[in-house]
Order: sequence, then structure tokens, then C-alpha cells
Amino acid sequence: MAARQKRYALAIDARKCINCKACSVACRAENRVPLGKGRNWMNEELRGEYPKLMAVFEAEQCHHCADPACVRVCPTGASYQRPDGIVAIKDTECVGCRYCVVACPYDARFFREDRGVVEKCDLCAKRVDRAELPACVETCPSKVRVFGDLNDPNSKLHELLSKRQYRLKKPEAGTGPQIYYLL
Amino acid sequence: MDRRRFLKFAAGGAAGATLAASVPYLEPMLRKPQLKTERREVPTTCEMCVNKCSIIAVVEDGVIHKLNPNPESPRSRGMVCARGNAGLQQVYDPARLKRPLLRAGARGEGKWKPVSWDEAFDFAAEKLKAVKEKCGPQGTLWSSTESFQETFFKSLGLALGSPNVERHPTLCLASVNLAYSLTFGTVPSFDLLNARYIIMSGANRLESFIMPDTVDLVGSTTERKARLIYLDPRFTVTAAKADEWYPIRPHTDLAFILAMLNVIVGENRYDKEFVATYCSGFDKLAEHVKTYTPEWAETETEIPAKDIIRIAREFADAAPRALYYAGRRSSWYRDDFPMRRAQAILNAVIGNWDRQGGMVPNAKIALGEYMFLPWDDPTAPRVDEMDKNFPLAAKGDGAYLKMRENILEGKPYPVKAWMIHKQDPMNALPEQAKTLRMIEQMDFIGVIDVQMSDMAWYADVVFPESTYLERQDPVEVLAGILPVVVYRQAVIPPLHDTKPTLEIVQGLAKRLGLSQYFDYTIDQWIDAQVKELPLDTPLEYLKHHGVYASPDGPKYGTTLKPDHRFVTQSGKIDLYSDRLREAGYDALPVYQTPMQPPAGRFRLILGRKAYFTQANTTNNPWLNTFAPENVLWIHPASARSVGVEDGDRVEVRSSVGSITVKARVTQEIRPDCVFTMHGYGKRSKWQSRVAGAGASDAEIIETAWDQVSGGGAFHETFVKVRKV
Amino acid sequence: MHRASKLQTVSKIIFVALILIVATTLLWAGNEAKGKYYFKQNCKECHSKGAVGGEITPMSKTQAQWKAYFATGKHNKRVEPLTKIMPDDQLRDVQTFLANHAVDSLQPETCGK
Repeated sequence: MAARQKRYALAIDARKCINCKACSVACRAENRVPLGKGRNWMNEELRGEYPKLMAVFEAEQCHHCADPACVRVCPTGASYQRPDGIVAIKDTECVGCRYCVVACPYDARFFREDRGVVEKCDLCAKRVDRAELPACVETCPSKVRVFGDLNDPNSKLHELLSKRQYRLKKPEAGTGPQIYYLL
Repeated sequence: MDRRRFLKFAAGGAAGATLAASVPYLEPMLRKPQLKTERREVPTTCEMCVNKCSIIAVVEDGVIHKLNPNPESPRSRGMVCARGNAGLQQVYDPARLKRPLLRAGARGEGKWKPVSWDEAFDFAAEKLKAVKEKCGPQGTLWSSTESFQETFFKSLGLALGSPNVERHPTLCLASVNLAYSLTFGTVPSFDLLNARYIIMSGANRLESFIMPDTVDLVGSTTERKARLIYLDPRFTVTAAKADEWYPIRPHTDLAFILAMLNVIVGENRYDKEFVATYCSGFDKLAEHVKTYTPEWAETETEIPAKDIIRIAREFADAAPRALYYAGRRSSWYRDDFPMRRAQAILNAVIGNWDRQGGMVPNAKIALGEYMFLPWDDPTAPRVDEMDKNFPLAAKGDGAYLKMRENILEGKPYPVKAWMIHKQDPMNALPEQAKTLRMIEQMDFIGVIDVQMSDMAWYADVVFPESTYLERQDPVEVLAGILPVVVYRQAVIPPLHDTKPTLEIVQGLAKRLGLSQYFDYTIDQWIDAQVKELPLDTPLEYLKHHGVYASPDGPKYGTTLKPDHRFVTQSGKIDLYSDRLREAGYDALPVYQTPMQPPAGRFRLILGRKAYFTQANTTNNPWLNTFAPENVLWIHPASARSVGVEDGDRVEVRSSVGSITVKARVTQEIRPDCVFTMHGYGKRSKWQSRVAGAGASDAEIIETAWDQVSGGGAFHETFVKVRKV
Repeated sequence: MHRASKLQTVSKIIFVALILIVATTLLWAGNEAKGKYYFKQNCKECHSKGAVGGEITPMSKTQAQWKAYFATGKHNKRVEPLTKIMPDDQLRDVQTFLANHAVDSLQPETCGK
């Protein structure tokens, strides 16, 4: 059976985010991310003056770009893109040069001193290959993140992106980011 | 086990497996792929907070790799919060309790001698017998926090003949529960998911504690445009998400509620048919709220009268899908109870009882019970003198702070032994110096816990409990709009020389001559419980699923029959309470203008972050990273007035103590309040991350309790702040 | 602060009254926990849902009704003496259990169990 090519992506509904950190700890647990580093992170912003205040919590991680700069600059091919869109790192081939860390417009990569390699979100590719959701997506109490296949017209992601307006971060970087921030 | 697989993949049949096989480069942990031989998924129940979410533990080669949500439980709404995810650190924490310990130095010195279980049991039993000999069985105190095995611990104290089983509710929901019990005869759930108009005061539902209500509130406010009105002296996450945030003057919530009642009753916006059919004492209520005008409430609350009037009208118009949320937290003030009662009454008069989007009496699932002939009743009265001090409160729970006062005074009799089950009174109680004095005057202290809490640090013997991922517990019914039965099975065998509480209790019971009351196994206990479930092989089902949810959906209106008898004195919803009047309290909530902090002082307010909530996870490495120490929130104008800048170290002094923490100058708090987080400045050196970090709020909070329920009142402390 | 002082005097009166109530109730008060055990052992066989005697729970009556029922000392359409079912001391325990959980009893709910 000729399966249609999948294209995984995330939508993030920041209105629903309560900054509870479940995604952060779930990622740390699933991927054994060392303390002090994170594959995903939270952009927190507080505006205004008492008592007229507003706060925004916006989750972020690797944007799994369509044309990822990190893959372009990697001298060894350790950074690569799967056919389903997931940008990942073969850590046996990573030499720790960190070109990719500099090239990423989203600062989504970090260097692991203990292992001498670069690490970042791979949308929990192991889980995805078992037909499970990425840990951050599954664990979220308020279901801020929606994970899905852009090429599947029946997916919830597809439905959301056709109904709601969204924005992309730093599209001008030209990497074709694939995290859709719902408005 | 494919319940967590997303369906798009599952529809492709073996596609998932094929895909995995075709991408060998994704094989995990490339260094030692040959080691990944065994992968199991075990459904069980979280214990990191009281919500008891259903989880699925992934075990790889005998090591717990990850705790995932179990979508079969409607109770956990498909989530695992930060704390739940960090649960496996409790198992693998190198500093956890691994074997029984006897104190080897002075109390609190931190010198320990590892001993066998027999030695620990013998030692504790001798001490308990000696105190029983000297003071009678009432000289032993048994205090516990809520857990699935708490019942065994409580039973040991009762079987020994002590009336002094002191549970946690008076550090928790006592005033809320008593107010709703006296009004409706039960404590309902709040159908936030379907509500259209929600008022919250003193319930930071989106931040303090992640529970089904949190998820439902996000759902109703974002997907269904429910309106959220939020009152809090602090700008919290809930404030950030609310449609309207009012930084209400602390201790004046009752004025706000009474003024809402004034508008709703005065403008005939209440549900007349519901009130006539189901409520008692409405006329007295109507008379009572006449003087509580919105204009008067504005001067108390600092919320404009026009807003109070508008909110009251909108609230009544949205009924029955409108609710004033009860929250889930301890008492704040000595007169907390009347405020809680007023909330209950306000909900009652708009007729949101047992309606979709309103308050719903909890549905339950019947469980069986292991039956044995219990012990004789204790002969002595309780040391906290519940009958005299809190005649309407739940006697079996006790009143924690009154208990401590009486024990310190040796009244009405001496209490010289203290057994503690998984509780940390050192941090949970206000005025830590008094807890230390209570510790000093004990002949014996024994603690059951999974980690070296501050309380364990002062114990004579520490019994290490197996963690929740290493033991089997009795099953539990979680009542609610969607009730469930949850089961906790061992995910892995105990890593260390630890025991479940039942076995610790049995070890002590044997030496105290009380074995006849504990002559059963956990399996027998569970079998008796589950045999009533409407399942052919209930235990098999629970082992496989971890949770049993009633197949019925939510039921609304089961009590809305004119002949329904509420479990109250009148048989109806008691707006006016004869029971309160007969016990010497106000039958309707009466407002007393509270004391506000004098110049130069601030009200210390408390609040929680869901990744900690209580004090016992601040040392968890995966959680500690979010807030390695506690700081003092102070408004810029207030900071200026006391010469403090952001990041300065400040002394925070109350009438009972002082602490030193860093100042966080922020717009997110009223100028007359300061705030700090809980669970820092630990004394236990085994909690290395928080032993020297920040300071314990328990050192400066003054002792006070709600007069009706006996619940600790935690917002009665005024502090001075100065730069050090 | 008028409420506090009023409360004190009222509570003094109440306290005295309460002692009297407690003292009088103690005359017949049994052991609630044992009462539940005896009730389940001796009564539930016939008084469960669908059983021959029809379902009976503590909530089937008010406290006063339970008191009146046990005062008759009769069972089974007021024919058979209750003592045929169980001895007096056990009956007292069962009465205490039933009355403490009667439909008009105050049972403040708690956190957990």
C-alpha cells in the first residue's frame, strides 16, 4: 500500500496555556534532558502596570522547518530531516561543532557537555513511530499543543489551521517554520 | 495495550510497526541497543497530589522510564501535570528513605543509625507502650495526611484506644466542607466545563493546583466563551486568563458576596420557583442582606459598586449555568466560615443546584468493605475538645491547631507520643516555633514517609514507606460528576528495604497486642472492596485498565424532586441555619469589618504553584528548577516606602518570627500585601536543594483558626519588611 | 466585635446544654463502628436492595424515627422482638450507627477518607 507522505507539525494555542510546566517536565522525563537545559521552553511576558496587567505564556521548541538552516550547515549530516518533516540529530554522527546551534533562528538547540553532542526537540520521534503523541503534546492538561499531519485533511491540525488564523515566528528567516501559533 | 495510540495511525493497522522497522536510525540509545529487551506499560494511579490521576507507567528493563496519562480516566482529563511527570524522581531520588532509621544524636541533629525493621518496630512499640502506661492511650497522637493507606494508620491509633486521630482537613478544606455540608447536606462539584459565568475568589484554579476543574475552566473560557470574574490581591495565572480581575482588598470577600445577594434578592433576580421548592429561610435571608448594599461593599472591597451590581445581574442572568466557585484551599481568616456559607447561599438562590453548568452533588460508585469486628470506643475525650470548641465540625478529623495549643498547655491531659503518617507539620502548620516546642515535649516521635521531611528530621524513628510506584494500595472511589474507581498497583518491586503502610501498621500492631484488628492482607482487603463492582472479574479489569469509570454520563437533576430530602436539619437547603443558631453561631453570614495592616506593615498572603502546591516536592530536582528558592513579592510603591529594591535581601518579621528572603519587586500584587511561596528553608539536610534555599513561611505565619470549622486561618499575619 | 462577645455568652450556655445532651445521649450511646459491623452482619442479608425485607440504610429514617423504632423493641411488622436478631448491647451499637447517619444527621464531609 502506497502511504501518502506525512508532514508533521504543531499548532500552539497560547490562550489555553497556563504555564504549568507539565510539557517541560514531560520532555525532560521522556528524553532525559539534563537539568539546566530544555528542548522546549516558555516565553513569558508581563505587560502593563498594576492593576491593568496582562500576561502571555507562549510555548516554543524546534520549529521543524521546511528548509532547516541547521541541516544546511551541518558538516557531517548528523542533522537531517525525515521524510515526515521531523528534524532530528543522529548523535553518533554529531561532532559537536555547534554550527547548527548558531544557525537556528529560534535558538532551539543546545550543546550537551556530558555527551559532546547537540540536542533538541525531535517531536519525540520514537514515540511518534510507535503511533504515540509527543510527550509535551500528550501530557498537557489544557491541550495547548495540537500535533498532527498537515497532509491529512481529516486531522484536527488541518481543521484548526483551516478555521483559525495563525502566525509563524520569524518567517523572514526563510526556513519555513512549522509551528503554527493560533490567534 | 493501545489505548494511547492516536487513531490515525491505529487505523493503518500494522503501519506503526512497519514504520518503526523502516527507520532503524531511530532506535533509542544507540550506544546499548541490545539492552532494551523488555518494555511494559503498567496502568496505575498518581500520588503526587490529591487528585489521583490515572497514569500509565512505562517500564524499560525494570526501570520506570516515563509516566504517561491514562486516557481511560475521565477524572484525569488525559493529563499528567508537571508534578505527576516528576513522580519517578521520588523513586530514584538518591536521598530518599531506604531503610528504617533510629535517631542517633539529639532530635534534629541529623544523626541516624540504620536498623532492621524488627529493631524499629520493637523500639517504637516499647515507647508507645510506655506512654500508654504513663498517660493512657489518649497520650498518643496519630496524625496523618490523606492517602489510600491512611485508613490503616488511623485504625492503629483507634485500636490502641486513642481518640486523638488528627487528620489534615483543618489545614485544608474544613471551612468549605462544613459550610456546604450545613447548607446542602453535602459538598457538591462545580460543573465548570458547562458553566457560562464563573466567579472565583480565593481559588487560583489555573495555577495553584492542576485538577479536572483546571482543565474544564480552560475549556469553558476558551472554547465556549464562559465569562470568568476573578478576585485576588495577586495577579496570578488565573487573573491573566480572567475576563475581569479585581485586586480585592483582602478579608472583604464576604462583603462582595453579601452585596451580590443584596442586588439579586432586592431586584428579584433569584430563582423564585427553586427557592420556594427547595430552600428554607429565604425571608430571613432577604431581610438580612438589605443593609449590605453595593455602595457599602465598595468601601470594604475597593470594587466599584457599579461593577458589583453589573456582576450580580450578569451572574443571575446566566443562571443556572453560573457559579461562585468554592475553591480548594485552607481557611484564611478567623471568620472564614461565614464567607464560605455566603458563597453557598448565593449559589443556592440563583438555582444552580444540580443543574448542568452549576453545582452538582457528587455521584459515587459503591465499593464493598472488608468487615471485621472493630475496637472499643476510646474512653477519653479528644485532646482538641472538638465537642466544646467546634461542635458542628467533623469530629473524626480533629482541629489541628487547637490540638497543638492544648498539647502545649498539657490540657486536658498530657500527650507524649506522636505518630505521623506522611505529613510534615513542621511546614504545614503556622508558627513553627510552637511545633518545635510540641516536638520537644514528646517522649516519642515516629514518622512514616518516603523522604526525610522536616518532620522526619525530628523523629526518633523513621519508617520508610515504599513509594506509590512500588506498592499496591486499596482501591478508592473518586466521587464527582463523573465518578471513577482507581487502583494503584506496584509498577516495580521496592528498590530498597521499605514497606507499605499496612505492613508497618501490622508490625507495630503485633507488638502492641492488636493483631486481631489487622489480621488481613492487602489482597483480601481489595477483594472485598471490588467484589461489589458491576464487573465479572473486577480485579483483573483494574489491573489491566487502572481505572473503572461508570458507563453513565453526567447525571443532572437527580435531587430536583419536590420530595427530595436534603441531609440538613430542615430537609431543605438551609439558607438560614437553625443548626448554626443552636450551636451559638450566626444563622446567616454576618460581616465584621476586618482589621487591615497598620502603616508600615503588610498582610502576608499565601498561594501555590501547581508544581509544588504542598511542601513535599520543592526538593524534587525536576521541579525545583522552576523556583530554586522562595522570594518575597512586594509592590514597587511599597518597596520604595521601605527602601527595598528588586533582588535585595529582606527580613520579613511577624509577631512570631522572622525570615530572610530576596525581594521580588513586582506589579503583580496589591500594595498592602506581600506574598511568598511555601516549602523552602527546610531543616532536613537530606532535602539538599531547599535546605539552605529561601526560608519557611511556617516560621512567620501566626496561629489562628476559623471559629466554626477549626480550620487553620493563614492570612491573619501582618509583617514588617526591611532590607538587611 | 459584638458578635464575639455574644458568641462567648451564647456558647457558654450552649456548652452547658451540650454537656447535658452528651450526658443524656451517652446513657444509650453505643459504639458506632461496631454498630456498622453488626448491622452489616445481621441486617443486610434481608435488607439489601431486592432482598426480602427491602433495602434499609441509615438514611431510611430520621434520628427521631430511629429512636422511636428501637424504643418499640419490635422487628418484622412489630411482631418479633429485636433481641431475637441480636443482643441488647449490639442493638445499642446498631442504633448508634443508624442514628449517627440518619437522613437528618449532620455529617460534615471531609477531605479524603
